Amino acid sequence: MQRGEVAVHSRYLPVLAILFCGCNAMDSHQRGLLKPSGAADMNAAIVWGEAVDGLRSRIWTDKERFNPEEPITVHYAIQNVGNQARTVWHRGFEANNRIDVRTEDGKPAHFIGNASARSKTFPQRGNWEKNVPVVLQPGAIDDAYIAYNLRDFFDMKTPGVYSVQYVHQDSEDEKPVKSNELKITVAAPGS
Amino acid sequence: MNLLRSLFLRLLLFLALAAGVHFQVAEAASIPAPNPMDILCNGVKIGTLNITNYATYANGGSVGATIEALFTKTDPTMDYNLKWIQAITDGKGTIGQANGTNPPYLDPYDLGPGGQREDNLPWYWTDPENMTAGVGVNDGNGPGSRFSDTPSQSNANSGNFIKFETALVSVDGLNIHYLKGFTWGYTVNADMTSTLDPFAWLNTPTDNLTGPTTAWDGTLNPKGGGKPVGYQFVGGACPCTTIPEPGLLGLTLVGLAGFAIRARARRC
Repeated sequence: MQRGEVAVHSRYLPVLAILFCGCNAMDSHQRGLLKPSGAADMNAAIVWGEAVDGLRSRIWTDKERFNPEEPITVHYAIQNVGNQARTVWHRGFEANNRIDVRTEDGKPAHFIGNASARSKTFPQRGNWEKNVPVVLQPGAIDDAYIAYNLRDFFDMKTPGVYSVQYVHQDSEDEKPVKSNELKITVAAPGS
Repeated sequence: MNLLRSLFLRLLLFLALAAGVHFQVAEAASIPAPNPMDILCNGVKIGTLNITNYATYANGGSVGATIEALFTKTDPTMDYNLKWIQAITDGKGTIGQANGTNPPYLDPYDLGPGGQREDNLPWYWTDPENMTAGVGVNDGNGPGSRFSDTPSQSNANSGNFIKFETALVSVDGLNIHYLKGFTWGYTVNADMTSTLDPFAWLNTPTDNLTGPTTAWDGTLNPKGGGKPVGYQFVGGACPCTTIPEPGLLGLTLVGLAGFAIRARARRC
């Protein structure tokens, strides 16, 4: 073997190390132990909302400025920052999660979804058909949420800066867990 | 120490009973054999389905049922694009009925933002849920390998009941390969407890499941009623793909690196 070839082999060692480290990733697939998604990892710098009784949440978009037409897709994650396992219920998004969007003057953005549904109490109570307890170990993140396009639910065509916040609350006995307040800029056409 | 703890627990139990605290001890239902059940696709065993829990549920003022089903692949390197479908087939006081929709209808009914469906797909799990460990994933068995549900309602709803038909399916576009199903449910009793329906395995879907699935209109409107997008239950081999193992992937890349090194050596 030539000396030069040995040098080339060692150059690939870090690549091999990374590849074989990947085998251990399966360990995090234990039941009840939610692993953070890649998206959440990549956005580690995004600020979290205030922790309430061991839970905190955050939302983020893939960019800050949007034109008046393109989708405004928002990602959402909840983390257990307490030192005991916590249960977050998946029973349909709006059963225990709410999206608040405000315009620059602080007024709620016009809701274009089902207005009668919007007026229901929050968190919703009573009868659950899909009702799934998701156990979060300390430090675990639940990001198994659809990244909704806010424009499916709110009128956000007017240029300006909108404030978006997600609120999670399982029952009226619990305090609401509010995400970071995300600022989204809708630019004027052609700007 | 153990004696003291035992006495303390008995005292707590006595005080709770004396105070009239009403609670229900979870009662499990038997699952007809075999459990785990072999899962075949086109005559080939692709794994097993294990009902790990089916019991009454009570928490605070709510009662209902809880169930968990876990699929384990025979060949861990195969992926079958697994999904779960669940229909509410009958009931009194169901969510759909409150909105003017009688069973059968697919679960979940609504509770997406704005009272719409969570997404425009007929599956029980949303896509993010289906691929998340502890939600739609049973350990290392891939997306759609876990089903869990704990339907419940106020224990004051005496006489309310709900019946479910649930199915594990393998999906190829709009073609649905039925793998195995089961029926279950619960009734709210006058004494504020719940009673489980007997669990029953199904080898083929009933009209209660095929009806709302083939009628699925792909909109976010929980009432549906639009033009069906074309989902159909079909036979034949399940769609499957091979998941490259990390070790195999590594060896492939090492081989490619070897070719690159050799080519470079020839240039020199």
